Amino acid sequence: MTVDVISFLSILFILIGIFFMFVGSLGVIRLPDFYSRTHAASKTDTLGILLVVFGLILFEGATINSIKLAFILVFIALANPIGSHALARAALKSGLQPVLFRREQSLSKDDQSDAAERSANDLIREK
Amino acid sequence: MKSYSIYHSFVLFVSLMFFWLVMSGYFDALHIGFGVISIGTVMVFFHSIRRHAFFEEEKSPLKSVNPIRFISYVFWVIWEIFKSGIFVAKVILKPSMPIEPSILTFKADLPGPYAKMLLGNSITLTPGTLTVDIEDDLFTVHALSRETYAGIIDDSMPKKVLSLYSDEKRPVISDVKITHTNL
Repeated sequence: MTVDVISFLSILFILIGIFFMFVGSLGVIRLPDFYSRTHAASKTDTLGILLVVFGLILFEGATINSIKLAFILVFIALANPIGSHALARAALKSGLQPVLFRREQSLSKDDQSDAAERSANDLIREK
Repeated sequence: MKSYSIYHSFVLFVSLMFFWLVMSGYFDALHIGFGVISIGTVMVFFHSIRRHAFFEEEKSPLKSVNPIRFISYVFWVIWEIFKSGIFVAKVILKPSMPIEPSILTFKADLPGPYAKMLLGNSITLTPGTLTVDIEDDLFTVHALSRETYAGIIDDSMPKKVLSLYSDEKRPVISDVKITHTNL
């Protein structure tokens, strides 16, 4: 009986993790520019993978494979923010302008693309 | 150049050996022997890298932090990973997609490159903010919406990182500049 509860919990965790990774992929399509897409790709994916691996640890129980999975957990949590930071930094250095806007100013789609065209960012100008 | 003691080499050997045992899963003499040979080779090649100082006045990253506060910081970071994943998922799934992307830059007065790395990582892990660039003391952060950078500009998160390193209470960030539009 207890085994069933643990299997149920681990399947639940894995399903929630897959859901978050799906939402992350959806965000890469929906969000307007590279930088906000990086948010979707890094954050939701980190959470998704952590939940999937945690579910696998629960499923595996107290074995040596669980310790290996725990190592994966730690390395993903450490490496994912650094990877997304490296991506965003490379994009900024190569001159990609972020699309920035306020809600009031950008109710229509045209305004948004206008803002993208007028992409003279203070940040780059300073440098 | 840095110096390190035999104690450091011993700690490195033990942690590498633990890693080897976990990865191999065989505990007989032959496999442990292979492990000792491999770790010895790695430590010989690693010797010159360990003696190299990557930053000026580099200290050991673990020695300078307060261990109790660091553990509470780790739990806080795990909690933040959950919060930020849920936050971004919510934003994506809302049909109206309520985002207001903005760039903020600020100067942070922190002791040493490891503290800056910790602050940069914390910013990336908190909901809706992403560290884009760190140059000397100047941080560049991309934020998804207005409420997401509140924890940075009211100085609560930078102070948390500072408290890992020292007990002094002082403002960490200055020269906050928020860019909302491409104009």
